[in-house]
Amino acid sequence: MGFLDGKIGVVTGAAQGLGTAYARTLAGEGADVAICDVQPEVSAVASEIAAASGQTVRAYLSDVSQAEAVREFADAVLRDFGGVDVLVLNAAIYDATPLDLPREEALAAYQRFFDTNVKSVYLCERAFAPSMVERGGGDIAVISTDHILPPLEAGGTRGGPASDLYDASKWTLNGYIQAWALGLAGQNVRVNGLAMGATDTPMLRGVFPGGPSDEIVAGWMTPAQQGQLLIDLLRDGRTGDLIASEPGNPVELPPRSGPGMPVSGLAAEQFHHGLMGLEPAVWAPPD
Amino acid sequence: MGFLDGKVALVTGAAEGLGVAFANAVAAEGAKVAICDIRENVDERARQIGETHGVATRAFHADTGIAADCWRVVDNTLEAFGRIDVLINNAGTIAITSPTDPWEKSVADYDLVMNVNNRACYLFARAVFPIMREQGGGDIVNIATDHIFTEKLRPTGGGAVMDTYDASKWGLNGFLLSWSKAGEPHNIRVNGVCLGATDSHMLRSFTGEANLTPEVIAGWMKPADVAQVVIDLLKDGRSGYNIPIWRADPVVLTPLTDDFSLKIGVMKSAF
Repeated sequence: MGFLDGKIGVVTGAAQGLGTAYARTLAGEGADVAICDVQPEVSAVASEIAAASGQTVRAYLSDVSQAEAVREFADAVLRDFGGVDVLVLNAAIYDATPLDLPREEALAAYQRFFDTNVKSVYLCERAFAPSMVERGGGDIAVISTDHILPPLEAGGTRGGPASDLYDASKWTLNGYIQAWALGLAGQNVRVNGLAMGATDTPMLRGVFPGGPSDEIVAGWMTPAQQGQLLIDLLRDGRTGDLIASEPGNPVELPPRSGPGMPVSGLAAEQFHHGLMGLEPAVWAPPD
Repeated sequence: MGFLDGKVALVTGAAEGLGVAFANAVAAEGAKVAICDIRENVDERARQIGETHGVATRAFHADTGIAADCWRVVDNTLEAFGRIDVLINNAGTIAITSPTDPWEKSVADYDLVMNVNNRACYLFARAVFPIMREQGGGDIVNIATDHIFTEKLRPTGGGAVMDTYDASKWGLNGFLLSWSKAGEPHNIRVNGVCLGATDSHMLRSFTGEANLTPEVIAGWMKPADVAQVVIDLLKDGRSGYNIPIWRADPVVLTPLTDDFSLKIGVMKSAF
């Protein structure tokens, strides 16, 4: 059995990749899990995880970029499971959005990216947080990207000239993580971000026309490593943090050593960057 | 005469407050100025700015929360003046929103705040980008907030009650970093200004008439001082910065740096 025995997890965008890995690790720790996706494969994923873990895992076909769909999804989960303890906001899209898109297409792209990568996160928090508060606490994990981290070389920046919407959508999430960590601390609800570098997911594979070479993939982190990082974060009990992980470095929870965003495996001077500026010790739940 | 002689600047949300200060500052440097605002007095304001500085001005009544309005303002500015050299994405709005808000309020609040503070910056920037590329360069400046600057002593931004406002401004960092890369080959510079409490129309409204004591106002930065930082930024030629300016510090342009945390004003080293 695991440390999430009797708990209920919710994972968005779980028909593949990271979402599936998060659902699997939550179930592996004893949680019952509700997963959703726009892809019908989410049902088979639920069945597979249920069979492997012995937990109750239900699939919901839902487009969480739409407000009504979030409401329906949340109502269904709260009805079927009775509440939620761990909310993993993973659903997201990535695509290039070059600056020469015609106006109407650029507007449509904005709506697509922000509805999926930002509004879904916002609305899921609104829909599920009341249940956490009612149950005496919980965890919200917001999945982000290394595009928003400090650069690896002085003078550089991450992100790209043709990924304004993806990058901005993930930067936007920092505001929510920051405000929610503060606003829900009194209710024992913790909120953190996970900002990972290249991980072997269908989303990242899709960036490579014809698929990435084995050599490239060998350099990536794995979804299972990210799933374990989530578990370590939940066990840790911190809030208001942005947990970075990078290929070529141990995928492990950085120490709680003060306000800031520890970046595991990077040089010491790059190690502590205050994203939230919260003093984790102040916000940690009582042992 | 000024360093913007012959240039054209577009300032959004410029019927009141900070926007007026930005419009006056670029006009004082010789730029022709187009301003837009949701408020009816935008016409009168444009007339005043033109008279004060002896430059041509245009006013457009527009709601930057509406995509078609953003595009119309850019098209009409180009039609009137033939070019756009400076875009100041200043229009913004604020709402009290919190993680425990009820559902219906939350659904409505998101679009109200995000469309003006975030999407409009995107739509304006993307609309002027081809114009600036064609004419060989330009400047885009997004106005943000100290809520997103998270050095150790100001940890909370807008606290827990402005989540969507804070998020909308955080997102501008992603835009400015991406656009400054895309703009570099075309001599298009993109920066942000991440400012603390300033005697603006927004802050006055937010504070409330009853609380507007001389002491409170005296503690705020002056819009003209903030506008001077933007002028210095335009003269400076840098790109990819989010300039932090606070009331407790000299209101000046920060030095050039390779340090990401100083450049962007967030993720500052805590030690």
